[in-house]
Amino acid sequence: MQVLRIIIAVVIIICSFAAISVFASSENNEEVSVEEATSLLNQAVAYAQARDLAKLCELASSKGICRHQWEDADGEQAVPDEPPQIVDTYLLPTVHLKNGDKAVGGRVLVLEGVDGLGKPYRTEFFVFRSGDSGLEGLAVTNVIYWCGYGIRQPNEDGTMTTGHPNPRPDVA
Amino acid sequence: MSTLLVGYVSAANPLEISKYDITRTNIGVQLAQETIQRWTDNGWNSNCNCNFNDLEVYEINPGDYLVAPASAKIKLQSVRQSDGSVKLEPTIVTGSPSDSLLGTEAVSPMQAPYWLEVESWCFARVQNFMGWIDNCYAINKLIGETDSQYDYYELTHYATAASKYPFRLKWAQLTCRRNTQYSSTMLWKDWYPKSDQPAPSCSTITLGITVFGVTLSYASQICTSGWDITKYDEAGRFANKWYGNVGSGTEREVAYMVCVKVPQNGYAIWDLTAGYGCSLI
Repeated sequence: MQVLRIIIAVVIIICSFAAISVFASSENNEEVSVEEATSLLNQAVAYAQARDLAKLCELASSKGICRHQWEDADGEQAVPDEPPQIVDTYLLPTVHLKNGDKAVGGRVLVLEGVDGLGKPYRTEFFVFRSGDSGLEGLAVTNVIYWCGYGIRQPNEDGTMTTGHPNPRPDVA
Repeated sequence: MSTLLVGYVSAANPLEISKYDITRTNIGVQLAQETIQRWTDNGWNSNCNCNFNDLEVYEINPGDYLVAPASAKIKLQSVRQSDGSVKLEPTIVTGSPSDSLLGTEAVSPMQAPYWLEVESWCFARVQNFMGWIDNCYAINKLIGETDSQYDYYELTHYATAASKYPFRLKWAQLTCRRNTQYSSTMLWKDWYPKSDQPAPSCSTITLGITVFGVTLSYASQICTSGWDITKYDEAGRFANKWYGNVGSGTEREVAYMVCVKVPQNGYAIWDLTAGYGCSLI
């Protein structure tokens, strides 16, 4: 009887680890292509120019942060009239943190333009694969593409150090 | 960042500002001269070409000074602070062309103290198989204040977290602490929230920091069960934790604002963390 209990306990433990492995491996690590990122940017531009904040924030990794960046960028009046220019693109690598968490990698589009109030902006539009998103697994950080935010990875110990000036366009 | 008055104004009646006028006192003359020098050094004096006689100096609260062009319209408001005390806060209304200085141009809002955003970053999503957190921050520097010894920096740090199926989100926490390697020495100026914020249901909370009469605000959603803050004696060190119990797909927000002063021409650098906790029940 004692042996049977031990066997059952071992089976439960193995099943638990297997379940965790399934959850962990369900994340898609395939690189985000420039085409995929640009397609999301085009959607964002269309929603922004239609002043459809709800649809715009559906593209975002976080709706709360999306709404804040919209307000912080002076709301509807600051929506750019023209689509942004993609001045650079690069892959932000995944960072595995010491506590076992990971900071996801993805594709960054570096965007420049002028907002609806005439202010130049430079924003890093970050597209990554998220198992939680309904958009073919893709989600965007800094979907308010005129907000002027950059994107960074945390340090390996999980801390994030400030002290980096805003990415600014070169304005004469 | 918006420069809005925070949402807990208790008495919006304009108050008479003249009784706070210290322009003709020794400290008033000194502050006006220092202000003109700073504006000139930073190239902000080109609009009005002011000299110190064109400025008015007010001591709004003990030790809180406001220096503004004489033509600026200033409205005083009595504002109830979150700790229950009442403090006077000025709102500077930019002068119109008809009352401009020296008959030249309208007074530029650049000449009143204002917050300048010097950094704004988001971090890539931090996640594991149970949940995730997205966090961003912005740092603002107060420009044009009258303190000859210190510069003022404000940090707004905010995040959204959620759990993944079948887990439940139990807490999400943000912290900041002075980076000892690179940062100038910090002294506390202000922080928000001032106290724990229980939340029986979801609502909007407006965070606000006011320095030299200039307010920065941040609106966040706060939901059950609430926020639990830790404010440390160590200047610049702060934590805010959302706590509760929600299922996957439900996002929760947490945010805070801190303001420190550093020796003039120094820089405020923080180490930030963002964490969350999930469980099956």
